[in-house]
Amino acid sequence: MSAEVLSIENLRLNFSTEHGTLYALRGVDLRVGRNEVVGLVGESGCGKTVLGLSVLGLNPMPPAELLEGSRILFTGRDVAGLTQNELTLIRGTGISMIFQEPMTSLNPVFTVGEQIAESLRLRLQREKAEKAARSGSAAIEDEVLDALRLVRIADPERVAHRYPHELSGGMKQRVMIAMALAAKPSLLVADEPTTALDVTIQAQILRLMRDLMREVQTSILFITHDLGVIAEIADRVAVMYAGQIVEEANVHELFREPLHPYTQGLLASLPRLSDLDKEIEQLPGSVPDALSPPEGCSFHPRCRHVMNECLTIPPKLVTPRSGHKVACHLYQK
Amino acid sequence: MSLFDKSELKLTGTYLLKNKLSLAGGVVAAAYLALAVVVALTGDFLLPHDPYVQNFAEALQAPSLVHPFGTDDLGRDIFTRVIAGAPFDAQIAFVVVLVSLALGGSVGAFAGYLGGRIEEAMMRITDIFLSFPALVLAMAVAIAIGPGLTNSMMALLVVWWPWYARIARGEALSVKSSQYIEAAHAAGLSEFQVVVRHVLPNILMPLLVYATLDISNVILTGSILSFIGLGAQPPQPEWGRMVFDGQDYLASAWWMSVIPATAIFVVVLAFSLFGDGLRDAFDPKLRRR
Repeated sequence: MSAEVLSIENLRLNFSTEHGTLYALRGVDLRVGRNEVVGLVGESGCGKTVLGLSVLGLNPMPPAELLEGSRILFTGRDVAGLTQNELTLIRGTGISMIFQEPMTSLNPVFTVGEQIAESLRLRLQREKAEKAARSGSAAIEDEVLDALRLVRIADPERVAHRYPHELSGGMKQRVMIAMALAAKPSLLVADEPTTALDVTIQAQILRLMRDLMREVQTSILFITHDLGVIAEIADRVAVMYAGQIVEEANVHELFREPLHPYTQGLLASLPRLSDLDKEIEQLPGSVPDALSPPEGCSFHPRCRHVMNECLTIPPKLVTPRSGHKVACHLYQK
Repeated sequence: MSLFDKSELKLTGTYLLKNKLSLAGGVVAAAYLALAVVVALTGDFLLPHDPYVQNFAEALQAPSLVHPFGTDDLGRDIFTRVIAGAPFDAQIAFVVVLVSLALGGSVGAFAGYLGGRIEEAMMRITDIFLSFPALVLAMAVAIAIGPGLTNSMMALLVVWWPWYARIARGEALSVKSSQYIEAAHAAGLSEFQVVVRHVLPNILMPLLVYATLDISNVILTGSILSFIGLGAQPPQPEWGRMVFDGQDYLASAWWMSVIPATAIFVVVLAFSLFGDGLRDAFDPKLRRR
């Protein structure tokens, strides 16, 4: 078995809509190693969430459709070829997901403790430790409290009996993380888990996730549009644009020396404390319509280095430097 | 609006207490139910007279101290018969409403949640039931399976569950798109588990409120079935049947029909008022008037 937990190869996924075919993912290649945090960054609508959902097989099919040749290997097994029942067995205990809105991701009619217990019981059932699953609520209750302690909740006994609306956003997101981790997944897909939180809570949650990853030995695919968040949490970063990965590198390398004009533009558009007077740069144009993505390089209408071949030939992902991949004609040799 | 939330329930409770009319309805409805349960448990033991024994010497007597509601054409004490009749309609109402709630609620929840062809098939079936006037369909079913108390309950059930299915489906549709449902999927729950553990608890509240309002409808329709001879059979002291028995004597002995009719009226009104209050109390928008 490979050292990779997740290996996505040439993932192409379309949605058929009233207005025609929507090309959501157009040949994505991405790997997540064991105990690695891979950040996936991109603008709204570039396909980040769809990618996250397809790892768990959660895109409704139809309208979604995986194209021939798409492979999503989770610990060597192709998720794309699994039946619904097999997928259900992987979800939770194999791959778990944290969603963007902690406010609405918890069921309003159950206490937080009950919801964590549900995910614990699921794991125990699957581990065939049926004795433990039945042996009772006391053991489960202890584990629920442990799960809450793991996410640094100060008084787990009290919080476990609370309903979601009685908790703050940050607390809810901690509970979501506790739920996801209670199932002991090998891969955690975190879809903008901090976007709905304010900056201080965001920093706390990020630090927590970073620490937890070491404690419970899980890999994370971290989806966000926030480069600041990526810099804080990720080991490796993949930049996504219009359903494709345009650049992928170690986090330090990417921030120090972005190769793709899109990444350069993104980084240049970050406000910096050091030069507040300077006008913030802005990427001209907007994300292309996924119904009719531009020919050639999908970034060419907004690119300042646009060349002739960009208009017709889609650039391949090349490796101009070790560990640094980019899909741009500037580096194709 | 969550079902098991204590502070919310407290708020609902205080509002309910403030609504005097609804409170009165609740008290009368509770008294009626208590009476029905006591009579059903003790049988004829506590009744002042025997509700079934005929005594032609005392037939058609006007209300008096001995017979507060008078006697009927067969000399039976109407006060006794009205009390003895309490459990019949209560039983009909609760069986029909609870079974409809369970059956219709599940059908609707699964239909709304699963969507696609299953939903289409299930909801078209409910549409077929809903396209007949409730009473006419119930009558047709009751005639087909024969008159009687149990059969009239069956007939009512056939007519009643589609309404619950329709409400449950609508609620399930709105719950379906919630993120906690997607999160439940991501956590590895099967479709069945998602519906039972996450969809049903979230759609229960509106169904329960509808059910309390609906009890009065069932009582009314149930007594109509008895009135036209398809429900309780003589000599059972069912109120609707008693109204029917008295209509030949309306000019001479009005109390034979009017008294049981008043009993039906009071109980139906009580449940309606209580249900109305309950609905308002559970709706935060109506509550903050």
